Amino acid sequence: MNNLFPDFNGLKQEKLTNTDQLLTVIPLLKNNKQENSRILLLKIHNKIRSAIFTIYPEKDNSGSEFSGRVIISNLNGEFVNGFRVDNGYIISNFTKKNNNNSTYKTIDLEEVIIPVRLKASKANTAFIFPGDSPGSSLDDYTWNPDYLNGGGGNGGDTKPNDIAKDPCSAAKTTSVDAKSISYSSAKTSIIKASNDGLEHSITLGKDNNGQITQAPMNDGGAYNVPVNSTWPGAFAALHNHPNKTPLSAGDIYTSVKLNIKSGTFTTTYILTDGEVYGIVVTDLAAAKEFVATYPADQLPGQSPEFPDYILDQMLDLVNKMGSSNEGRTTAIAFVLDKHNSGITLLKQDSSGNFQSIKTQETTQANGTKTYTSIPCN
Amino acid sequence: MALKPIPQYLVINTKTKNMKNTLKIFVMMVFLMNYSCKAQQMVQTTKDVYALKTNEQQFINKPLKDLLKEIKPEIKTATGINDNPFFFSFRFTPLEQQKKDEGSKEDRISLYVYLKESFDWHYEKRPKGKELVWTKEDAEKYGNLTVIRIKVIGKD
Repeated sequence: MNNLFPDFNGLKQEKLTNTDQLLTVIPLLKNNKQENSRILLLKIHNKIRSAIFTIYPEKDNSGSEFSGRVIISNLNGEFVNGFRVDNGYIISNFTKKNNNNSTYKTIDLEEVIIPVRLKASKANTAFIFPGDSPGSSLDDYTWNPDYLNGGGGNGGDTKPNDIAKDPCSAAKTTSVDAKSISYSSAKTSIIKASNDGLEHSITLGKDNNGQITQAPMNDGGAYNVPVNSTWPGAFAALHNHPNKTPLSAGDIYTSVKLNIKSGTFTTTYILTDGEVYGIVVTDLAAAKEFVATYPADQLPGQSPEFPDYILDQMLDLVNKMGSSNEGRTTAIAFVLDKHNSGITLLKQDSSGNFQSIKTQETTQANGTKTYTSIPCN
Repeated sequence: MALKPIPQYLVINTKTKNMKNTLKIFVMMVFLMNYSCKAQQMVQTTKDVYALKTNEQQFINKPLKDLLKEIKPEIKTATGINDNPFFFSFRFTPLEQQKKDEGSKEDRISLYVYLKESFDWHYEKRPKGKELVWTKEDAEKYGNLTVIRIKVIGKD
């Protein structure tokens, strides 16, 4: 278990069907696009059962449904079960081969084609924790690992943002993108256009060679602007806030919508009052859960607002952190982190690098709560 | 029999007495009116803040000052959000208490008043160290903004 390097920050409890028991899911820090593992824990008859659920997406995994191998092992890495998935359906099972003559300690697997195609997104818990308590209800419990719905990672609809990024990695990637000619050109164009007191947006994409491209500018109103989400390879969009206001709840909800629509579209840059802030969806599954749990509160003709529960927590913090653009952004970032929203807020520093806005709350001896920034190493 | 004229000093005295009585009555009426107006304030304590939401329609499309005059407990802090949607967040505990999450549940209630117009509220331009303190001048400055929505959020 020590060699697994669990990412406890990514720990989640996911629902199972036909039971109110929750499955504990812990991703591993070493996860990548080729191999993506999760430790699964489930309490069965007062005993905690564990397994490692690993997916190996196929290279040619361009369909919307997952294709690849799924291997279930115990915490020592010994094979337990496995299956192959093609476009979302289980097409074969892996079983351990009897290989007593083998000189080497390797595991040979036999692949058995299953005539009846089963949907892979509904993983039966009896398959994950086999041989456990015959007669239990495990056969009736299914887990819907949403990262089997298409892709190699952590819960997206499309591949590129399937694997959750940590906020510091997101800041690094965003900093690199922000040093491109297209980013600078888009930023300059928007700042120039913003003299009219309206919002303007430019989408950035990547061509087949990985070069950053720039879509034509969209013009909007005083408090909103349409974003071009169909630009080839779209991964980010810049827009301005002419009234010098900080990034808003509407910007956050829109960022998640854009990422749901297109898996590569993870980043929103906001140009306001001479500063640049960033919103990066670093964990789409968590972001989807956040917006589903806390949907925007919006009156006709108004911009979206956080629902009461989130709004009040945010304003509590604004009063403590200050109502400047920086204070308000830090307050939003803190609340988003507190609720594991899978959304990272960034601010560009004077050298052009983006820094993630992470804050630690400390209660002083007199009861006052203070907030200090946590820098990336 | 000829009537003797009433001495002038007596006339003046009678008039003065009448004026004094009128003044007394006037003062009493003003006092009673003032008292009765205050008694009619919708929010007597922080427990009553929810009444503003219950009677929201009474304040919609009316100036903010109409709503503020219905609140007896002192508003200790206000944060103006001059972004769309535009609103003020009012609190009834001092900032020092807010920083410690102190105060009774009732006093820690939040009142959000959404406004039709954007308004000039800049944290950085407010008096240093008292940025969030709600003053009489603020009530006057922002009193004519139009209320479009009220939210009351408790600390449950």
